[in-house]
Amino acid sequence: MSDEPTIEGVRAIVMRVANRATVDAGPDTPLTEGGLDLDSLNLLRALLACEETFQVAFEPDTDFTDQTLRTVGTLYDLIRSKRPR
Amino acid sequence: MRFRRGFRAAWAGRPAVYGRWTWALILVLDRLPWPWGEEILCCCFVVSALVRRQRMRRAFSWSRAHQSTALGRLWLAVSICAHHGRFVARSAFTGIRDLRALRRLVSLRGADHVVPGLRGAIFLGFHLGPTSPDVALRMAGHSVTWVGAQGAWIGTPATAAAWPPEINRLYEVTGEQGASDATVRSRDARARAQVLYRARQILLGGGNVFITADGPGTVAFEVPLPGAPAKIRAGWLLLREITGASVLPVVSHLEGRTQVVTVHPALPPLDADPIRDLEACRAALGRLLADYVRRHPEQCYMLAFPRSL
Repeated sequence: MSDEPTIEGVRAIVMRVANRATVDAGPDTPLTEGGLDLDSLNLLRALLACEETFQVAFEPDTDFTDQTLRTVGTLYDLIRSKRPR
Repeated sequence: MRFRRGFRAAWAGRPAVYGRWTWALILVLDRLPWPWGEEILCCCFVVSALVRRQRMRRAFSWSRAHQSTALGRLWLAVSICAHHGRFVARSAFTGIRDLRALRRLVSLRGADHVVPGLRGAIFLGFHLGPTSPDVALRMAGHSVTWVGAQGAWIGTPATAAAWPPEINRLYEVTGEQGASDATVRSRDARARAQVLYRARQILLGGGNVFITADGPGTVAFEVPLPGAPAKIRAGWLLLREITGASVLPVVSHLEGRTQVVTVHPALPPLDADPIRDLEACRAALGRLLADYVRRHPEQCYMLAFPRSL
């Protein structure tokens, strides 16, 4: 049974991967530079964890853009858009 | 005489890994019969090192760790510059017109480590010796997708005109599925994550990938070697962790004029303890690299010139 995606759920996954307890991430916190500073490896870990938790499948060519992977909020929007309606 | 690539189209399809001057030189030298282009590029790189003193200083710094006599150090410093030029020429197949000519210049060893019909394996390359060792695997009939953030993109439509048609076709038919493309040239985390995600899809789908251990990216560990440490990156380790794929190290060296590509036995299988697992990989790669550096110090351009990537 998959979890319903929530901004809190996405935030929790990203924070766990980033291992940055000192950063108080919100929807507008950048995933990479100037925010959670996820490198490519941790970004991939976060994406895979989101896929597994929320039972979605990403298409790297179309889904992984600078816009969709900009902040915690845009990642949440991406996950919601991948869920069956 | 019919040349293997038109100058204008090849210029337009210049892979980003080559600078404009280098690519222009390669295309001009490509008109000469092999191995003249290679020989001239060797000389160019030696002359360039004499002009760019920083480069020659690095070459001598490398040679001091490997040669005890002044003459030996001089020979090694010049030799590593010349080899670098030869590897650049060879990477662009300079003067090599077709597959038949290429087959005479490339030899595969350790093929018994690649079981027939191998699926879902990571071929792990290094920036040591002649580049593109995956060409030997392709010529032996193995499907391999090259994975990286910056490369020559052989077999992709954008650079098709840059390569001899037969060699371009070889890459097309042996699985250049686009784990790398022009959109992932930038070194940002998003682009790299995209490349790794694609590589994971290929591995889980039963395909094989070729990735370098010492390219750009996050450092997983260093292997101390005489002259300079090898910085081993973490991308391939993550791919191994999330797919369980077996990893076959591949090294390449020049013997005379033949590029010898050696496939080594697979690294130890994934250990549940990540620290023990990393140590096992470090030990296995440490032995392999130490042996290579001891035998071919003149071919370790990436260790001598760490910014040449």
